[in-house]
Parts: sequence; C-alpha cells; structure tokens
Amino acid sequence: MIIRPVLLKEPSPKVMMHKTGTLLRTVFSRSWLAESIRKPALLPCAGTISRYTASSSSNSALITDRQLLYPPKYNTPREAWVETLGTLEGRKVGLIPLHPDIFAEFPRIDVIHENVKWQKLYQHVDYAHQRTRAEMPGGGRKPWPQKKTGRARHGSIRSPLFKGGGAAKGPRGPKSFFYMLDLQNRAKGLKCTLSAKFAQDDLHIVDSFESLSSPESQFLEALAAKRNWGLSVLFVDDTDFMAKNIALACRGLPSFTLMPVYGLNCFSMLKHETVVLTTRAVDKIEERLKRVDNLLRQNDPRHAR
Amino acid sequence: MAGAGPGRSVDYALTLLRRLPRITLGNLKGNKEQKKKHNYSRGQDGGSDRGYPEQAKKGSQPPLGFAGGSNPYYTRHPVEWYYRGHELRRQYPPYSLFSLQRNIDMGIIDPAYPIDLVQLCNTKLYHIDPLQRHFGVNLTEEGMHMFKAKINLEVQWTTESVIAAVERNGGTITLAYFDPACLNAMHDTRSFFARGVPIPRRALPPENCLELYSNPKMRGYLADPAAVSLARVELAQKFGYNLPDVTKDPDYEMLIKRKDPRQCFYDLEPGWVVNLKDRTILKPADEVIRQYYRS
Amino acid sequence: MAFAGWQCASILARPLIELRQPSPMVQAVRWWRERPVYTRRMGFEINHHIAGPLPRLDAVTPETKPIPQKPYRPTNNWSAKKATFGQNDYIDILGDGTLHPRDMLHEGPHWLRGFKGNEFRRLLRRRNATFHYAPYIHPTKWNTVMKRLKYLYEYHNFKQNHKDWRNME
Repeated sequence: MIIRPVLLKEPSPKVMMHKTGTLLRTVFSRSWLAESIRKPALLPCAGTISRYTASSSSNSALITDRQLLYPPKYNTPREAWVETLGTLEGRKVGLIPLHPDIFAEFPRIDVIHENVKWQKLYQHVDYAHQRTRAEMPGGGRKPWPQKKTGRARHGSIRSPLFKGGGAAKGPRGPKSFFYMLDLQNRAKGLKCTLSAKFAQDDLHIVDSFESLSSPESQFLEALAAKRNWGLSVLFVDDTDFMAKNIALACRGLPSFTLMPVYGLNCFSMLKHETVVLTTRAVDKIEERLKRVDNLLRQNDPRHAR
Repeated sequence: MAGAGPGRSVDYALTLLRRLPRITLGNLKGNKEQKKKHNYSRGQDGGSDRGYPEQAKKGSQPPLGFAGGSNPYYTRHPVEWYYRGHELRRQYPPYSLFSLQRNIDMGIIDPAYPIDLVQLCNTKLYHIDPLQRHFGVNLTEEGMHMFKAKINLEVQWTTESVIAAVERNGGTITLAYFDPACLNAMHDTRSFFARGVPIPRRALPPENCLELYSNPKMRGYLADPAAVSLARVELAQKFGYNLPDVTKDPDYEMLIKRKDPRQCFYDLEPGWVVNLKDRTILKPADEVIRQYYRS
Repeated sequence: MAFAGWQCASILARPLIELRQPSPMVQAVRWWRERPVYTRRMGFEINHHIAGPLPRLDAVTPETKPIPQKPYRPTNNWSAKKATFGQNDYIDILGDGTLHPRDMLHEGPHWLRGFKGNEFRRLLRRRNATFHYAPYIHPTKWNTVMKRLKYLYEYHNFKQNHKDWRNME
C-alpha cells in the first residue's frame, strides 16, 4: 500500500510530541531518498483515516483506539493499517500503533542469523557411526607370521590400514548438537525479524481471520495475488483454534501456513514471504516480548527504568 | 543501537532496508569469524618449532594431578574429618533487612499481608533449593539501622538484633520450621499446585533444633505466647526502645496471624488440593484422612 | 665384461614405445637393460556421446545407452514438516512460560535429549540411562559400549594431553 508521507502541512499532535520534525529533516535530507518517494516513509501518519478508507460500508467501527502496553518513553511508535480478508482487494478498517522496541528494532542481520542457525542446529542429531577395529567382526588373529613372509607386519585384518578394516577416527554414534541461545538473544532475534518484515512491507495486520469470506483455497490464493503478498504467507493468530474458512483454505495451499503466536519463530518468518498477523496476535506478541524485556531489566539494575 | 534524538541510526537502517532485497534464509550472514585452524607454517616462512612443545603430543601423557611418582596432592589428604557430615547439615540462605526494606519500598512485597518464605520466594529475587539442604530464610542484620517497616514476619533463622529491629517498628516476627516436603511446596508454589497433590502436613522440628523453635526469646512458633510477650518486653528493655502496643494497632488482626504447627500456607489446610486452572479447592471427604491431616 | 657403455639406462629412463608382437624370429631389443616399459591400460575410451546435443533416437543401442541414474525427484520445500519447521522454538518466550524447547525434543536416543558432549560423556550417559535393561536385551552391544568406555577413560586420563581441554571434540 502506498501512502504519501504527510509532510509539515498537517502535523499531528502525536508527531510533534516526539520531535518528528527533526526526524523528517534527517530522513529527507538524503538526496537518494528525496528523489524517489515511491515507498512510504516509516513516519507515523497523521490521523487522516478518512482519506484512505474505502466508502464506508455498513459494518464495524474503525479500529483507532489501540493503546500500547508499556508505552515507549523515548521512541516514536510506528503505525500500521488494519485490513480485512472479506474481499479480494480488502479495505482498511483501522490504524493501530506498534511498539517501536518490537517493530522498529535495529535490524541486526547477524542476530537473525544466529537465531536461524540455532533453530536449525539445536534439534539436529547426527546418526553417522563407523565401527572401530575392536567392533569389526573377526580380526583377533595375527594374519601371517611376523617375519619371513616378505609382507608387511600386521596384527589384525581389521586395523585401519586394511581394506574392510575399522575406522581410526570416524564419526562415533548418535551425536547431538543441542545448545540454547540465551533469552535476550532469542527475544532480540524475534524483534529484529519482525522489524525487518515490517520495514520491507512484508508484514500485514488483519482484524481477524474470521473475516475471510470463503473456504475456497482459490479465493485465498487470488486474494494474496491481488495484494501482492507473494507465493508464501504465514498467518499468525492468538489462539490455536483457527476459524473454519481460513483453516480449510490453507489446507489446500502448502505454502500458506497457519500458526498460533506461541509457534512464531525467525525461521518461519523468513521462509514465508509475507507474515499476516491479527490484531490479537499483535497484542499477544507485544505483551510477551515486553515481559521478557522487563524480566531482564529487573535482574540487571543497569537497565532499570 | 536504538538511540534517541535526531539522526537515529535505527530509522536510517530501516529505511535502507526498504530499498534492499527481501531478507530471506539465503541472505543471512553472521558476524563472528569462524575459529581458524592453526595451519603450521611450512617451507621458507616456517618457524623454528611447531608452536607447541613436542612433548605434549606424545602418545602417553601423565594423568592430571600426577606429581612425578610421589604421592599426588589430591590423594595425600583424601578426607578431612572436620567437615564430616557437612552434606547433611541444614543451610539457611541469607536475606538481609536491607533487601526486605528495599523490596517493601519498591512495592515488590506488600506489608499489608503477613510475610513468610512463600512471599519471599514469589518475588523471584530470593531463591531456596530444598535439594541443596536449604531449610529456609536466614534474616541477617544488614540494614538494621534503617529498617522502618511494620510487618508480620515469619523466618527460619535470625538473631536477637534483627528481632529487636522488627519489633521496634511495631511489627512481629516468628521463627518457624518447615520440613523438606513442605519447603518443596513453598519455594515454587505454582509448580507445586500444578502437580495436583495435597498440601503436606508440616512435621515437627528435629531434636537438635526443637529447643530453638520452642524458645520464646527467639520467638519460636512452638513457644508459649505469654512467654513470647514477656520476651518482647525484655528485649525492648535490653535494647532500649519503646515497645509499641500491638493490641492498639489498626493492623492488629494481620500482625497476630500465625500458622498452625501443621500448616504450610496461610488460610490453606494440609490435605487440600488446590486446582489453579479451574480455580477450585478440593478437600478430603474421608474422615480418617481428615483426622490425619488435622492431628 | 664391460657393459654396453652409457647406453645402460635406469628403468625410469627406459623408452616408452609400442612394440610389434614378439616372436622367436625377431628380437625386440638388443640388451636386456634397454627393454622398454610396456604400456598397459594407457589412455581411455570415450563411451558417451560427445558431439553436440544428444540425438533423439527411437531405439536405444549399446552405443547410445544412457548412463544409469536415479530418476529425479524434486524436493518438496512446502511439505507439512518443512513449512512448519522451527515452530514452537520460542514457546518459552511467546507461550505462557511453562514449556521450554528442551521439553519438546524428539530426535535421537532418549539419553541425548537436550545433552551435548564428547563421545566419552555420551557413552557414560548412555550407560547410566540404560544399564537396567541394555545388558539383557542386546548384550553384545552393551559389551561394545563398556569396552569403548574403558578405552576412552584410559585415553582421556592417561594419554591425551588436556591442556586445551576446552577444544575437546
């Protein structure tokens, strides 16, 4: 969705409070940014929802009054549109603030890499096993006498020197690669991935999955194609009991995955091209990740607020 | 990284990301260099040695602690009898009056309710491990001079000065013993209730500390309440402060609340099963079982 | 008797030539030392088609026999397992906190769940976890494990220098 950034003509009170004037100056002073403002800036849009909503049809009050749990003291909240899944094109039904500590975290690619590497490796078990000379069958007898045969001296036909002999330093048995990344690192990985997805327009927020009007896979596929969501979409909701329509639709599409919030992870978010969250999922994610922040802050007096 | 103020690097980085290709599993790269294997230099630029003592790579090395053939240090003194039985002795991890005052001031502990081991462990700032023979909280004197809170306190080990510090402010303090089964329930109440087992019946203290917990001077829970009142007066005289009258206190009901010698938790009897998920309490119906738990 | 001068060559300097078939009438070389090295199995024969694109033939002949290969089976990157890979890895953060990823490991033998160590440590753990049934249901395997433990104990404690103990395996 392309939104023209609201410039200084219509500053919103929220924007002024958080010194976004200086932010605007910084962002738009760079020439290569200024020349093509095709992509929208990450500034909080002024409260001009009426400009962007389609002709208001009957239902639903607009979602404009979401409050952030643990409002940020020093950062500006980001804002995101809330869409519906009723029609192919959909319409915007709200504008909600997103916590900057979670959706505007500095995109640390190396932290994301560490998290993905951990996810791949910590469950991995290598079953490769080579028998040593002691475990090979036979090989107890000296194959030929020590001297006078003209051949090299050997003690056993299963030594590593022999064809068919045991391995000297081979892989030994089922081996696990389990390790745990620390809590801080994993929480940061989630935040960086969410921020990266949001910054690259691959994160969409939907009011609820119940708004999907048809259980047909084709409808969902066409919807994703219409909205340029890409070939793979990750749908995330608060609960693990999903609405009937979306469950049936995703069943027919292997690259459209349904997931509860507790199943969210960096690997899945990067594997799927877009991530679609419900507003309840956003609430849950913010609450859980801020809880980790507060926990860590409580234990470390340096970060006490 | 996320700095406040003008020219924030976060916004620049995120705006940069919008122009860059999508971050996928194939785009990621780490920061730390992999550990390089030491390749021994060969040829013209090779050094004079291998970089490690050749002795070290010999086939057989002496075992760790080997002392050249004489009796190694770690076998010279295999046992030192002075600490015999140390693994069986009771331990009381310390918790200072200073920490207590701080937590009350920060709102972590509420002085309007009785404070016991359960409350302290629930703060998650103090931990005991019954498997390590921890038998409760040892309240230490640090912070005694600035202790101001009026509380109903229940600890497992303390000194006279601490008792004086608490009582001077109008509070009460009791020394109570909990056996390991009860401590298991108390130090992590959430996981205990999730187990779905009945609250255990608290046992009496073992012989070597029965006297302590019956001593009114140490405010033992098995002591005679009248003797305890007398001891409070005596202590006030000893330390030279005016003992506030607990009976005239508006929080009298709270300050006077004590656990039964068979009780672990306030307001919960032994034998009850607490179901947190359904928010119910199951009580035994059989008379024999009830008699057992109430005896 | 003198040798035939400096024409005597070491075996390395023997000429590498192809000869006519030896017969009783013909002497291949004059002197035994100058006998050549017979070339055997030299070169290679090209058995596959190298000239341009492959011919579209109806019949498969011995000259055009295809190289035996497994039929190509593309990997399904969106199978149920692959599409949901990594799910629940952050359940201790995003769930209610009672579950930990360590509690959900399924792969590998049960004594290796949530454990990482070198071979000695793994075998010790295996022994301690299976001693009450393993010697009876697979005694040979158990015997192997015990033998290996004994060897590794001696290796680590009496042979291997553990100055760099951090980099053990």
